[in-house]
Amino acid sequence: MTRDEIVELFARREAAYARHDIEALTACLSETCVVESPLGGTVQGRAAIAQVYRAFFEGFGDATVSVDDLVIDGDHVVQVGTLSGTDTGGLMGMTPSGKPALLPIVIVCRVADGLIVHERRIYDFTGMLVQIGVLKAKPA
Amino acid sequence: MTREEIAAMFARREKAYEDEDAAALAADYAADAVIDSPTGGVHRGPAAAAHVFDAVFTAFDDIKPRTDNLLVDGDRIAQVLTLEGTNMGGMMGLPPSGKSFRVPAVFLYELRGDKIVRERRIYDFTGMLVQIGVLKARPA
Repeated sequence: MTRDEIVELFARREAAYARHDIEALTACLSETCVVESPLGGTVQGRAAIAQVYRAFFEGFGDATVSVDDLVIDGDHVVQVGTLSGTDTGGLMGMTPSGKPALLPIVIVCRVADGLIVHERRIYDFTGMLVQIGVLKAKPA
Repeated sequence: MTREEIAAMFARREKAYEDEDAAALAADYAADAVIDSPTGGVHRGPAAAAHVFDAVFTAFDDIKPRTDNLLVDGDRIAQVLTLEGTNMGGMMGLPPSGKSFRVPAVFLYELRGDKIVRERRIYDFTGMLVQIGVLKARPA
């Protein structure tokens, strides 16, 4: 893929995320794409990845990701952004806390033939759970 | 810097991390460099960088960053790595726990000439604090 094609793919994905459009989001992925995330573990294939998106959007009804930077090197891409949302729907089977979360997030991807074939999400997942009240943390 | 020079610089930095050589690591920063890390907060310049590295090496004298991938996009670098270490020297005023941690991380850099002018480190910092026993977390 050219740099312009990669930039266009990630812009399309950002727009789909803003709409919580799971079909459009998974259309950016290859059929056998693997996604590794703290929330969903390692999942493969569009249907399984759609479930992870669904669980997240059900938990955070107003979730947004603003993209701060895109680092591109051949078929490897690192997207740097800020994730924000409010726990309006409950996450991991918990009662909704109504609390907001705001944190930086990095998504490490490999692309091929116009699509994302591997994606790894890195962020302060434990901190996010503390922010929304799923976990309580205190000094040991 | 060429791609080869950047790769050599980061190989040297990985070795300096393993050698706990704060001075060698700090020498790569420009006088006006801005570094944003969960451990050290936002700090500026080589002297502050060395101070934070010294604190990290005191807390984790076996800290090991293992670079999984290095993306070079002009003067912007994304280092995808795994961080691991053992809390043998205490942290945040607490006695050493002797516990180990292992987290995926991404360090983002911007270069000017052969110096780093901006660095941002993103990883599950809260999870790391829980792993080493500085924080205790439990379901809310």
